[in-house]
Amino acid sequence: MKKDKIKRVSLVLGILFLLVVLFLTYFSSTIDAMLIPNVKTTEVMRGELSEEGYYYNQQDRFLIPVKAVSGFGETGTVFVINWIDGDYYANEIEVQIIGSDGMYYEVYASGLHGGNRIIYSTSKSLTDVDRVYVVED
Amino acid sequence: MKKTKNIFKYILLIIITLVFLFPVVYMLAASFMPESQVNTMLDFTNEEYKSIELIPEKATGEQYYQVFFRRPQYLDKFWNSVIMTFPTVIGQTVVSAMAAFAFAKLNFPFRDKLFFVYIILLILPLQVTLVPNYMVLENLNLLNNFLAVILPGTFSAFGICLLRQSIKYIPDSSIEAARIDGAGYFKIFTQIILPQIKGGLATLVLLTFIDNWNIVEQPLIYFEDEGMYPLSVTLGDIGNSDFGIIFACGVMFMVVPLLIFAYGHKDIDSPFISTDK
Repeated sequence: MKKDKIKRVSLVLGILFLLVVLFLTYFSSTIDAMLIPNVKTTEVMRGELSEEGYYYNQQDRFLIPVKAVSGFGETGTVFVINWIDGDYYANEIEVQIIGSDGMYYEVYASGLHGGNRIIYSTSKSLTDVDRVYVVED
Repeated sequence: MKKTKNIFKYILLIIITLVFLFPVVYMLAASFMPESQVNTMLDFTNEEYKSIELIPEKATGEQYYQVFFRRPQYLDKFWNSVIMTFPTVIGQTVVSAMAAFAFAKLNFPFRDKLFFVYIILLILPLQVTLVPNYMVLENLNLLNNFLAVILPGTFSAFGICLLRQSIKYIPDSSIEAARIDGAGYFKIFTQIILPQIKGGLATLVLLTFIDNWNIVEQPLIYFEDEGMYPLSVTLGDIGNSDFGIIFACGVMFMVVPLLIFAYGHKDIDSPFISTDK
């Protein structure tokens, strides 16, 4: 009896294990994408705010959507996307807020470069060096 | 005196058991370590072990998460192992049982000489037959195909020799009685021979499974596409890339043989001893 029970248990466990591995083989990427924050990104623009609108300049001044900046007052943080070893990671960068027109902040940040992509929308709260899944707009 | 002897005997057996079990216990414990601890522990930059630790700094399922969710290529390799092993085991069991019956109970010309050739094949190391096998498979256009591993494994001499010993001890009278009742060879094989060699079959299944689950040389020689390599080959190569998840991969690789052993180990008996089952 005990011998049959061991056989039955090991057979059931074996079939379950193979089924789980089969399921994960096909759906692991989808499940992984569901578990990590889904983010939307936009490209950082160099520029300054003025009464006439925005204009480009060569200095370390950037125009960033208000939604992308966390914080109040003169300093805030943004998350920049970096592609490392096949995955996207969100790196937190501190910015100095110079001005705003309600849609954009004019910021100064030594860690930002033209062409960087920053996160303006996320499904979960982020911390520095979080792995994220970039959702195409 | 006898009691003292027994105590020493058991202590020695326990020590030997612990020595053999240590790699498995180490692998299980290390599979719950964070990748950073594994990389530190297995740092070979000075060409020696940095340290061997059994207790994780912080027990985590990070390695298993990496293997099951982040690195699906290792799951593909696992299935390559399954695809190569299961058909080989089933094929070899069926073929070996029928051939062993023929060698043990049927009389045909040159039977014993042919069996002697099989014994010689058994003695030959695998590496000796790799190149001839490669040439045959190349001519059959079976290179880079799972059949290149499955077919030679299916028609292996090992199972025939193993099961012949089991079948030899079955009394000829039971076969003759069945013949008198009008049974053909197939009926004699399925209804008289097979039920009496369950132990031998279980032994063959287990040994063939272990042999093919751990296969390394044949896939390396016969497959050009690295995507077809089984997990046994990839585990040896994992040190070049995903070192931190090597232990979780090893545990995943260990589960199936353990379950098969748990299923069949009670049915195993030595084919060299006649049984009254």
